[in-house]
Amino acid sequence: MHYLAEGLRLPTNALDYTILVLYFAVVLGVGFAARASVKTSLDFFLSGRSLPAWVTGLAFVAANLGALEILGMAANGAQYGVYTVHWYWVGAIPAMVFLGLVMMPFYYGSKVRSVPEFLLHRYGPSSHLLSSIIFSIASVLIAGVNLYAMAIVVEALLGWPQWVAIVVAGLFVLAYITLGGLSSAIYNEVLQFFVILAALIPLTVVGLRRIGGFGGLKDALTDSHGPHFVSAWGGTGIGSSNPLGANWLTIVLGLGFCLSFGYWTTNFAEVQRALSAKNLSAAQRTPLIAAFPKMFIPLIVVVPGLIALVMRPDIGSKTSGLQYNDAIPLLMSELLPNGVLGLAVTGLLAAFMAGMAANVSSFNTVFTNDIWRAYVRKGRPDGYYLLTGRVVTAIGVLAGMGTAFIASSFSNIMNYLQTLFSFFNVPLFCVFIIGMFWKRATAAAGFWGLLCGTVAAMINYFWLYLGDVIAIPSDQGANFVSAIVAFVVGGVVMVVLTPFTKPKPVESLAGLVYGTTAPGVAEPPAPGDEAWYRRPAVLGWGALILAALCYIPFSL
Amino acid sequence: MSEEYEYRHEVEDLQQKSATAARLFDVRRIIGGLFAIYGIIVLIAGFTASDADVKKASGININLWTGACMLAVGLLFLLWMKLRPLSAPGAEPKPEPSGPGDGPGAGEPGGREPGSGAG
Repeated sequence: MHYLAEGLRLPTNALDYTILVLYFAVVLGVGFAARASVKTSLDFFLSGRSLPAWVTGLAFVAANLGALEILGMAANGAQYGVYTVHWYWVGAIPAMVFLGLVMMPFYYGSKVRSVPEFLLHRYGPSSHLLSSIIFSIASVLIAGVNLYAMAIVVEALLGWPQWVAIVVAGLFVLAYITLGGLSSAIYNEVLQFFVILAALIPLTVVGLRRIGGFGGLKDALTDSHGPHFVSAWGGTGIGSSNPLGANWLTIVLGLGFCLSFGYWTTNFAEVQRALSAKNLSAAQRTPLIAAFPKMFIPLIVVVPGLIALVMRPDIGSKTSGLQYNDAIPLLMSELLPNGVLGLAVTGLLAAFMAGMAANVSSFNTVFTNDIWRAYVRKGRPDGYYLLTGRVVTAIGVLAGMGTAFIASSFSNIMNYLQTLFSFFNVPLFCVFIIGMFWKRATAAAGFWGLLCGTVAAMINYFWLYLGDVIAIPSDQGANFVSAIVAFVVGGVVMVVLTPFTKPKPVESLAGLVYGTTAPGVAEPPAPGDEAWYRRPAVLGWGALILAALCYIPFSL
Repeated sequence: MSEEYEYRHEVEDLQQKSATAARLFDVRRIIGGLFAIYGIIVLIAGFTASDADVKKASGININLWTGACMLAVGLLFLLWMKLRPLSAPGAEPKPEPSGPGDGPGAGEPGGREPGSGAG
């Protein structure tokens, strides 16, 4: 993203600032109030595995609905048109349903506290340590990039100096997570989810009214960009060219399968929300409940991007001084009067803070449990790890703030690093899925599959694509192809290595592999869980069918 | 075998001692309260909206509509909380009495689980 145009300063007044200050006060209040509930390290890292499904489900969707996601997907809408819906209906819903129906029983049922910890028990220390370290570094880095992006937006919209925005937002996140742990992160995410809806729905309604509704939007875009721009699959035949630089095969396999399953099923910042649910049924329902709002988010994110393109056809060109990322701030300044404007600013800031908080709250868990406790200081009393978690939170936020300051001078490097880390989730998913369904898969195969898959994706992206050895028309298209490469290489390495290496004893895999059950009593289902609308299968298949139906208006 | 599953016993132990279920306040109070207050503020801005405000928002008094909707959503959350108060899961009582002040609504006996169905 990066530099927002000078002319986007919002005409905010005291009313808008009242709304903003009120929000910051409530965020901090949630932290103080949640503090009383933190007695053990499990309370701090996983809310004591006790939250209801609707809370964890909304937090699951909100953890992903950071401001970078909102601004970025609106930008994709303005740049690529209706193709952007693939990131939701192919690129999120199937993976969320798979996580809920297939993978969650292994994650939640095995009582692991993090995604890397599952690797430890299923494979062994080498893959565990590798993924814990990479996850920790990536989390801090992404938190920093998020902070930096926020500082730029706040500077453009409100005129605050960048360092003020970085320090204020960083310290608020530090305070409320150190006090209340995951519970206050999750509660603030749920709150942020509703505030962002309250910000984006009026924006979309006013914008649609301005350009003559959905009909006016479609006509204007068809006139200016052709019919493919308002269709989901038009122009995605293999060999035909489109702005996305991808065909239906790379969209379905690369985005829909490899990238999306990698992100949604192994990214601990997401999975952590489900692991904090109060029982297995609630954990399974977490991503399934999240799938329903996720499906309709394009309506209030991608549609504003398209509206911005109709209102300012020169957006994204050099002459206008406006970038695609400015789509939503542009609509805010052109359409919203004071009052609702304050809500929109609050929603955007809330989304930035929640996105960062999701990274920090997953980082402190992985660093404390999977690195410090597993390899550095074993066997201390629980209170020691609770304190460590709080200290690590503070260190993580401060490191993120430091990263944000560094990012302000090296933003290109940061972009590369983010791409680099994004390649790590895909082989991770490959290793998980093989490990969950194939008892024989060995520890060595897991480690080398992870490493080789990641390296293969990087070679494909940085050498073959950026070095122009193979021709892929766009960054997004190259991302999709790299993801497929990572998955295939990871899988092949595992299958080839497994017969030559020593498998784990079968009895140590109980509850971690398909067809085995963990010893001990299964948790009894909570009263009310048998209601038909709470059955994971009904919710999951319902979400898939609804997502498929969403495509119909854009495919005819 | 025992060593492999040690971590599971540890998690079970911690879950027994966990205070979150008993002492964490109800998030619906926060959402309901904040939305009700925001609703009122924005509603007032809607009643006092100038012609320029309405013109900017394509002829809709968007503050009025947004304020009314937010107030309604806030009150619905508060109503939901009244009708289905939180109940601490599990039959066993927690060792500590609930904290002073900051755990309203938590730990009340009876009542069903707060609606954990689809949102």
